[in-house]
Amino acid sequence: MQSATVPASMEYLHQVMSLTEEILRQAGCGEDDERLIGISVEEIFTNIASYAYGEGEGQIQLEFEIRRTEEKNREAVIRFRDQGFPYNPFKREDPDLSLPIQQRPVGGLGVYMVKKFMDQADYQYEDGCNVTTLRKMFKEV
Amino acid sequence: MTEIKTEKKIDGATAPKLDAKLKGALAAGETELVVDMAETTYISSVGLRAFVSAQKKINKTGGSMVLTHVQPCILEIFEVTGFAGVLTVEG
Repeated sequence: MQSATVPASMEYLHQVMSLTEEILRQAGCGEDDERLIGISVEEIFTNIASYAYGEGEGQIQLEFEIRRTEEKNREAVIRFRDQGFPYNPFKREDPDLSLPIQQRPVGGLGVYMVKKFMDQADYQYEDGCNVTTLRKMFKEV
Repeated sequence: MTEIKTEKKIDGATAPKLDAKLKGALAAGETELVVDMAETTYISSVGLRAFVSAQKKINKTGGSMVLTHVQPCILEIFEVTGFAGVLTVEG
């Protein structure tokens, strides 16, 4: 398992994305899965960096685990921990994609993509921390 | 006509630049935007919002925005998020 702790600030997005890319490539993750996992990591990181601590400052702890499930199958498990305001991003209602563009709300799209792209996306509040866990299977290439 | 080329990744770092270019062209009175997405293989929600916001303005004031050379992996993201039907997309 690899982990990293960075300030909850958008300035660190690039660093987090590079680390995610590096870990997934080393694990043999193909471009398509890497893109979908990357987008999901960006969306969760952006939400925490933008809202978890309000005007205050705080940290985001990330854990990356690559599990071997079968011969060529792997599962990426990515966990985010922050000590910001308790907030479950997955409780939010999905955006209504049938609305005409003029009435479409702009919020909620990121979390919607995470739900669509990951096999599983969970939230728990434990020991004063928001814990968000993303899981996706991929085939080693 | 104004042509805008997008970068390889439209993410939290590059989307504000794209948003500024789209808004700038529209504010200058441009009614015909062509966005060349040949290089782009990644787009997160902040990038989608930049396109939606430009499209909303265009729908109000008249004009067009065409996204050209859209890669299949980006088209897939437009489809999942329901934007394939509301943006003008060419492969």
